[in-house]
Amino acid sequence: MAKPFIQLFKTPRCQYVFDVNKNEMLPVSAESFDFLKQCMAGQADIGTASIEEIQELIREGYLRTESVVQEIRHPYTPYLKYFLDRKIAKITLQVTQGCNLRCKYCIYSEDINVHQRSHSNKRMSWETAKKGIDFLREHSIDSENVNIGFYGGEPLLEFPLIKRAIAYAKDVFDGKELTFAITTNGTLLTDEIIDFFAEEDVHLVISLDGPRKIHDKSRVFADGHGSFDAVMKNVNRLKERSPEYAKRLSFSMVMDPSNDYDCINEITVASEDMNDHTFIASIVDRDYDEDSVTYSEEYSWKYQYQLFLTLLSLTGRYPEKNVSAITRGALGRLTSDLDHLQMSGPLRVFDVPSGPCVPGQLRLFVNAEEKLYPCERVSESSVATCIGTLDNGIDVQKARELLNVGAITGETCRKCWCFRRCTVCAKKADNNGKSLSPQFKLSHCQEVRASAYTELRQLLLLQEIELYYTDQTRKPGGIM
Amino acid sequence: MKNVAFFPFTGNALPVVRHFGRLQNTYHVSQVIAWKCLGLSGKDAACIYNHPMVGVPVVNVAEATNVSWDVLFVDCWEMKNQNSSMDYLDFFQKFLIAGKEIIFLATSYQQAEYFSEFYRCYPNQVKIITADSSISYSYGTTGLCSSLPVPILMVGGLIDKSDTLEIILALQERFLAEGKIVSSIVGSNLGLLVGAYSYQHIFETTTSSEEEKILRLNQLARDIIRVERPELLLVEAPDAIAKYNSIIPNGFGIRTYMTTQALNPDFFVCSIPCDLVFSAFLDSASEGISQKYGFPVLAVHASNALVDSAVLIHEHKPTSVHVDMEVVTKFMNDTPKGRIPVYDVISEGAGSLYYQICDTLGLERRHP
Repeated sequence: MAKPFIQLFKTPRCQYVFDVNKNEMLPVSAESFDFLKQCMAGQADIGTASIEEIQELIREGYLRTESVVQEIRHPYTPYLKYFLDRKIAKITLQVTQGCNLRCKYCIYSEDINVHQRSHSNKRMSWETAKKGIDFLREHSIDSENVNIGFYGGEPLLEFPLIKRAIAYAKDVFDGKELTFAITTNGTLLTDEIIDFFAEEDVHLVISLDGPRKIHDKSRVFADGHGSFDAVMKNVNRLKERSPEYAKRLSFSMVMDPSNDYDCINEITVASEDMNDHTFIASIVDRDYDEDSVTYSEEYSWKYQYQLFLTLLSLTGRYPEKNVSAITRGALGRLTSDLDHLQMSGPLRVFDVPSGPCVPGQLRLFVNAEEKLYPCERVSESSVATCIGTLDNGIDVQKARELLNVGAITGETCRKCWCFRRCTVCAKKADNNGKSLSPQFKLSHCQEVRASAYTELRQLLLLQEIELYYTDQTRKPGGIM
Repeated sequence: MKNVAFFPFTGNALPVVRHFGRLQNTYHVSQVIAWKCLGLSGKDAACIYNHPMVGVPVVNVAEATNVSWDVLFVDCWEMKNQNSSMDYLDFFQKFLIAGKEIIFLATSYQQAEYFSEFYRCYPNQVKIITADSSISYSYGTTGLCSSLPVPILMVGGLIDKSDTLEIILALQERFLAEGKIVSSIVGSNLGLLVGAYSYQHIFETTTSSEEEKILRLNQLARDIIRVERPELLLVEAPDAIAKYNSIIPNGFGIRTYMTTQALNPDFFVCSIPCDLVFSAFLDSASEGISQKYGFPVLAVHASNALVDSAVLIHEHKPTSVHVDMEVVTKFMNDTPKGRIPVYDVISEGAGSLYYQICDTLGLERRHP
């Protein structure tokens, strides 16, 4: 029985078929939907369809049974050299591998990490930082703007180096839009640092996992005591000292879904002041300790409920100020995803799953030992993801392999409905061997597809709100 | 011949630098001065777009001391667009004290005023040029958009303005070498240095309505034709010919549309990234342009500027990466020829494009 290359979606109002080759979501009748469902279950053959709607779709080139993709190859592959020679947009400098905290889930922790480096006292020298900044300048002639990030360990342990690097970068990048970013645990912020960051408009991201009872479970100092009080004291100091700058402060939140979501979320909804900030939430990373993430029931249903409230707020039926910044951010990313989906177009004869970025171009990571990686999230002890050194430059062949990571599982990817929604990059294929692992990469697919399915359903719902619920969601008083 | 330098050197100035020696005979470019951020110090100016070398070295602003040139051309438009903390007044003063001449290409009356203090202090060394001072208007604006008595060739980009000034100056140079008179209207005031006219002042003004701008463009073209009596008028499209897609509107090509209303071009030469020069795509793009503007695409220039799709998706703006010219050649060789001829004007296609234009317009040409 021939199956069409599609994925079916159902919402309370409609039925849809996602045509993978065309990368289009099409509303279909209940009758067509049921027939396609039978096809997907192997109980009917698409070639024998008698429903007019299905026949018309087939005539228009939809519902093909084969993927049009013949070869997994990123369109940038032949030109990657030029992107890496001329258009690097950002580098992240690992100014230290040391940290004053010992977070329990930390990927660099001696106790749990299997596939990452451990905490160390290695610090980036001034010569290396300077070399990194020069490297960015030499490889960014086609970039209209550039960004330099500071990362650790805990980067504020090396504040004098950061200060010097910023002064140097401002000098060598004179004439170009230059921005800075730093991710810190927030415990070492002083008045001097706050004033300097405000003056240089450094985009400040502070790690905060929730209220004290959540944050202090994992984010602890070496002696075991929690860091929440130290972080919040500094956040409040920052707001007091530099209120305008503080408005742009973001929080990075690592959520452990074994906790109750409402407990995590307390930090945002408890105070309007905190809820106005951007929260970039992610689930705790277990890739490098060979453990799996556990989701508690209290996390799952409460998160969904908060997401529902956020949707209601979009339609004016729930006060926006009561909506969690976490789900607000998630929904915001979702709606921008819709734009990306529309822009990415139909599948091509040679094409690549959507997961990988252009390795080295968008967020080149320079570690304290001058090694280059596609970003700060990959393992520094991996041979497969190291793409060069500051002295020798980027190994374009290795970068090409990471760019085309989909090729190692090409036959599976080619036939996967999630081709344009895939989030699997080289990091998810890096089993810390010398080369990327197809098996390890495929082990993430189920989760990625489930997440993509949920997101697409949410996008459909968002679209349907505009189509079917206008009267219920129109604000009193109309447009006046 | 006086030695000159350009400041600030950006990609927009490269075509002028390349054709400077053949489009005027008063000056010789000996150096260009770029912002430090480009990292071009000591390299050839053409590195900025990965183009064939032009033989003009770049120095960065900090190294521009003890210079050997006599005259500095300052593109004020680029100065106001840059993210620089440098002290311009100090920078220019240093050269004036050393006896150098400075010619400011101002974008507006207000900007000219800003530099007029230099003129007052160094009247024999400073000159301020604005686009509207480049031609004398003997007749006032009639309020009518009149048809123009010479053929008009518009040069524009499908996605951005890559190489459009380059194409115009390369053609201008060819026509000049063959003893023909062509006039050009371009977007950059730098064009004023090589005999072209600029419409920058018309589009930059905030006090005119769109209708007035269209009428002023038409008037500018009529004045140029009256004074120069050209056989052909070349016009650079002010922005991309159309929106790129629903997320990258590209200004919706509004200014280009206004220019077409003012000048009613007869033909169009379109600059397209080399990875898009497939005949099916060109035919479809040409049809769209023809339907929207009413003129056909005469030829295509394959640019070495490829669109960066990742930045496009994330930042919603078109940016480019410049590949080697060999990549352009390979694309052109590997792609089957279609109805619309494709040239690489940067390397050696300007001659062929020139001949095609002559043949289309029925102009005599010396070579087969």
